[in-house]
Amino acid sequence: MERPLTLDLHRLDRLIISFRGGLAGFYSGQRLTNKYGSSLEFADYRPYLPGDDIRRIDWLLYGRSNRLYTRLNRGEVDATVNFLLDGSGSMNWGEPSKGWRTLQLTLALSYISLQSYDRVAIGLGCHDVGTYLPPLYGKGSFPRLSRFLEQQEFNREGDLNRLLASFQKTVKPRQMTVLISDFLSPGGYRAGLERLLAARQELLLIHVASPDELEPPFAGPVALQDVETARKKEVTVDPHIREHYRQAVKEHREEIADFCRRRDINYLFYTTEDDPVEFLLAAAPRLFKNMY
Amino acid sequence: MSLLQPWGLLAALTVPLILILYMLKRKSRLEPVSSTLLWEKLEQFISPAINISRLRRNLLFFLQLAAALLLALSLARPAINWAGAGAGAGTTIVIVDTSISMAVQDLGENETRLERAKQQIRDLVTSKGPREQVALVGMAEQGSLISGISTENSTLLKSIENITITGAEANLDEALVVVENIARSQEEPALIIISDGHFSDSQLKVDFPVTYLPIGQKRVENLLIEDMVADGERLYLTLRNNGTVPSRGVVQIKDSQERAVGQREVELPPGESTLLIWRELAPSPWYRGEISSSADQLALDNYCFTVSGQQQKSRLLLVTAGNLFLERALALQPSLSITRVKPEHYQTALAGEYDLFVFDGYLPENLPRAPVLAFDPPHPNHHFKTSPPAAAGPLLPPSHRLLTHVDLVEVRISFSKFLSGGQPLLQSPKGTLGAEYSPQGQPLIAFGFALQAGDLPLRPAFPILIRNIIDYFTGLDLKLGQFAYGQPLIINPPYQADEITVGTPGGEIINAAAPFPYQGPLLLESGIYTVSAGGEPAAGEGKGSEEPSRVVAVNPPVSTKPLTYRDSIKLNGEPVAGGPGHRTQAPVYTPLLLITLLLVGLEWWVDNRGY
Repeated sequence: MERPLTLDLHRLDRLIISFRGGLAGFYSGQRLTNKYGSSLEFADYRPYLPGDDIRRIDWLLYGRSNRLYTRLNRGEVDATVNFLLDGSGSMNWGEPSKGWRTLQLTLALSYISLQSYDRVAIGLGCHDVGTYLPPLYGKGSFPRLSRFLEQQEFNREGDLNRLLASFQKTVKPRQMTVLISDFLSPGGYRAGLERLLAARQELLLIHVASPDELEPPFAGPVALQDVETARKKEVTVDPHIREHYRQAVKEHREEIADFCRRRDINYLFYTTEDDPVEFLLAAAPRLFKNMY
Repeated sequence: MSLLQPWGLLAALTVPLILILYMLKRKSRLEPVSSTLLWEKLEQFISPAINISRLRRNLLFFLQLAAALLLALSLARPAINWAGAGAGAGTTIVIVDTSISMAVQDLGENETRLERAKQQIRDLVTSKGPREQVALVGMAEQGSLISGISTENSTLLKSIENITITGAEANLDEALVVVENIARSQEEPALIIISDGHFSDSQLKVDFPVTYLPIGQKRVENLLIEDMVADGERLYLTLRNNGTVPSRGVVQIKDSQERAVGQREVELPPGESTLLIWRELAPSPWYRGEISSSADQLALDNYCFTVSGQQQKSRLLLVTAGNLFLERALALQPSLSITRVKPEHYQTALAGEYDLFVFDGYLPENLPRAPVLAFDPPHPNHHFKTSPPAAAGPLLPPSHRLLTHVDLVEVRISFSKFLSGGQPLLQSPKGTLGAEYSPQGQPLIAFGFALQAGDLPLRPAFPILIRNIIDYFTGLDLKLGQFAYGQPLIINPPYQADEITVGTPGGEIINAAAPFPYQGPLLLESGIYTVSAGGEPAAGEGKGSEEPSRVVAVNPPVSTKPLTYRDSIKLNGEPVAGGPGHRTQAPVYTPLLLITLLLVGLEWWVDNRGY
């Protein structure tokens, strides 16, 4: 890794990722579900049945109605947040690189998740999930997670659709999946995302871009070489072409955002010149809720 | 528009060169990018070899193309054709015909030929470049400089306003002499002649480009008063048709009170003249002849003024035994009627019959009551003291006003009687040789020597001395001076005048004061001028004290030659470029070059900004 993934994570202590739909967890956690459970959150009443714990009888209600009712509470489970990181060579671009910023974002979001007793799993790959960190739980797992992230590389040719299809096999329904990519995959991304949606994943897409991708720093006749595929493209960058490129970038971004909007997917656009913590704090109203 | 150097268009070959350079693939440098995915979407705008759309939208390309085209056009030295007179040279010298024929108003025109010529010159001046020089030369009998070389439009336009008819005939040779003097110091002179061609071709050789811009038409109808003389009760008027068609009109004679005293209806074929005579005219100081003809195209020569009667000559009695020098010197004076008698035949009774007396070697006992000039007076006499004849000695430098223009440096007087009294006129170290007296209130000028006693009568000083004395005796001769139409008023009065007052026909008063000669304004008003003398008379008691007044007739110049029009002329036997409808080529390559430079600057800016 080019440098340590240091971040001022304590500023994110009070944040907790908010989920839209119901979650399915195997262990007790802090995520309320629509199922009855043992939390303190009131859910409903039902007539007392023999065998019910008499501690659940609402005696105040009995006093008013002279009937026995058992009080039901919502259940609390743990949630699993899966991170899928685009490990293609195009992510190893920029200063700082998109890959490094991706790892920082993953670290920050993982920190938030672990703080809120969610499980965090991380997958990274190009055509398929090359490296995978199984779900971790608890704050104590953070060092392990951090070490895992620091060992990742972005240097191979990728196919986002295939990566998403591969990752879909590792996730379980009613989990959250965070995809961080530059979406510069010739094969596209739609099919892969559709498969994740079919796997009942709540999706968050973070579109990472480098400033020099938005506004090329060169002009005149150039031979553009793709750092991922090594393919070349001859272009004379004049004001006319530059304007068309800007338009293409804008359309590409709006295309992703429109796809997400139609499928109720959270979409965030991030440029590597921004600090990841500041970026997440700025996105907090949409993505997070306060823990206390 | 035409091109002065069409081969300059070869520079336009740079245009396809630029085109090819733009269309060909340019050498590119390697630039790594994260992905070429988005660049692939621009395929329709990017072509690896030939890119027409790039040409269409590339501002830099169009600027370079425009600069190359303008540069090629500038090198071809384009010139626009216009109706003005500019030749596009560094210095343009314009000869404008100011002879009387330019006062013709051609059929269908609202202005005279001269006014149209002036408008052409105005067009030339206003359209010339800021560094282009223009000089204006008038062409009449003499060439005259109207405006020296100047780049200032305001100066030139002001000079154009002063161009008027100044002569009867145009003389191209004289004008070319002036032009040659101007062009000698110029690097790139060009000559433009604006005229109706009413002059003889010149055989002078001109080394720079000449353009002839003719003005006029062949058909001219004109009657003119060639001459008019009033002699006593008769008036002679010569009428001429110098047009190209027969003409008829009415000739009317008016006196000084604007009363019509004579009228004739005349008709003349072209080139013919006739003499009209009026008899028994009522006395008038002057007369005006006037032609009335509705079809006459030249109004300036339709008027003529004449002063009536012959000038009254002064009667002079020369009393001498015989003096050829004196007789000849007196005979040179046109205002004198001379009678000669010998001294023994002189009688006192003759004193009342003459206006002036000259006594040579003789003085009567009783002087006549008239101005007297005496040489070698008897010794003694009754009128002034004299000494016996003695050696005269060298003459002292003259100081008397009567000796104006009299050069006595080489004059030797051998023997003379020395005079006493009076106002010394001519002196030697030994005494007074000549003096002025005033017996009986009349001037008496006496010289104590006989003319044969020296070489004075052999010197040019002698007739001048006699002229000065006779002028003094007879009063002013106001014909000394110049009263000619189109020429400056020049007053060079006799010695005794200090101030001359000239009244113009328009009522303007011109005061000419010493020192003389006095040069006044151009006389551009035909009519009767009144001339009167002021100032002190020479002796305070002569005839000059009466402030005489004369009238002088100033008539416009007339050309008795047919008013021919030529649309082409020759110089040194070679035809001159130009002709009717000739359109001058005014170069426009300088502004084109400036625009090219501006485009190059703009291109640099665009390139710098990366557009």
